[in-house]
Amino acid sequence: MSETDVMQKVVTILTPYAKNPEALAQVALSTHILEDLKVNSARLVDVVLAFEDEFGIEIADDDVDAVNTVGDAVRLISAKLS
Amino acid sequence: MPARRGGRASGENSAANNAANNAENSAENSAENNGENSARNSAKNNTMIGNDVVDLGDAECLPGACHPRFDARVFCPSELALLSGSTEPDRTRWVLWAAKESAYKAARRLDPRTVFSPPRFVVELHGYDSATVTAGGRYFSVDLVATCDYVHAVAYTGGASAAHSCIAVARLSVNARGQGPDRPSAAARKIALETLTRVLRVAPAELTICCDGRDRRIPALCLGANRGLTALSLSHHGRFVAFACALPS
Repeated sequence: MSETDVMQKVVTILTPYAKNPEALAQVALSTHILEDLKVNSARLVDVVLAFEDEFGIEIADDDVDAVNTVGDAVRLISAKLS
Repeated sequence: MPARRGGRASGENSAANNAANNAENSAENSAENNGENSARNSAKNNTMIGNDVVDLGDAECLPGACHPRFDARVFCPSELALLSGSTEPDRTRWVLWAAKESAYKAARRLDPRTVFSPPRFVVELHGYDSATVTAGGRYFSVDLVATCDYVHAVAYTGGASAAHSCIAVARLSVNARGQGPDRPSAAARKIALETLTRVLRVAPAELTICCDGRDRRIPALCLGANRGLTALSLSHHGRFVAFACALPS
């Protein structure tokens, strides 16, 4: 799966949890999930679980802690898929 | 739900009234406070502090809103047993979550590299209004307020009770909630500054909210020239904003 495909799926998963529609409309790899999209910390758990379901991977909490931006998520997922 | 321990800051009511005219008042202690914002000011000093507020009426907190594996991911076996035995599992879920999140915020002040792995922050509830959280050999005492509308947790390191601190929860007006994604953050900061200005009896210009210095996501209260920083924790969710600040001696 290409990083572009991963990115599209990541954004689709993030969409219902993002409270900043303006940031979501301009989402990029550099977009910060908590600070820009305003996903709250409890919902970030749901997002990670949805990533696991969608991509068939497991993501440890230590990995989650290193995910700040959409790009971080895309790279983490892509690495686990490769 | 019993009232939270600790006394009150004098003149606390004006904080919410003045906070951009957008903060309504906390439900907490409303009978004593005519429904206005509460601020609690207690007696010891503990610099590591964290707080978290959860709006129980927010759609995200309603039954069935979480991923089916949320509980298994977040809670350790003892907490899962608490949930399964609870007559109010949805409320208990967010009490446990708020305790974990507040302890994490306090832990991050000690070490900004602290990883938020929720099951590693193990909560033990003591009745309705307090808990202890252990994580990585650290111990946090947590004061809890759970109303029908919200849960608010304040975690302190070390000390057995709430520190020399100022704490408030306020309800955002509908207008404030509708004025953009940054509005709740701004309201939390404004309430904190207005309340602390009054409690510390200083001019507004003397207080600013800045970064801790080690991590830009960790806020601190700057006390003006040559007076240094003190720990400040800000939180918002849904209709509510909150803060907790370790008061300088």
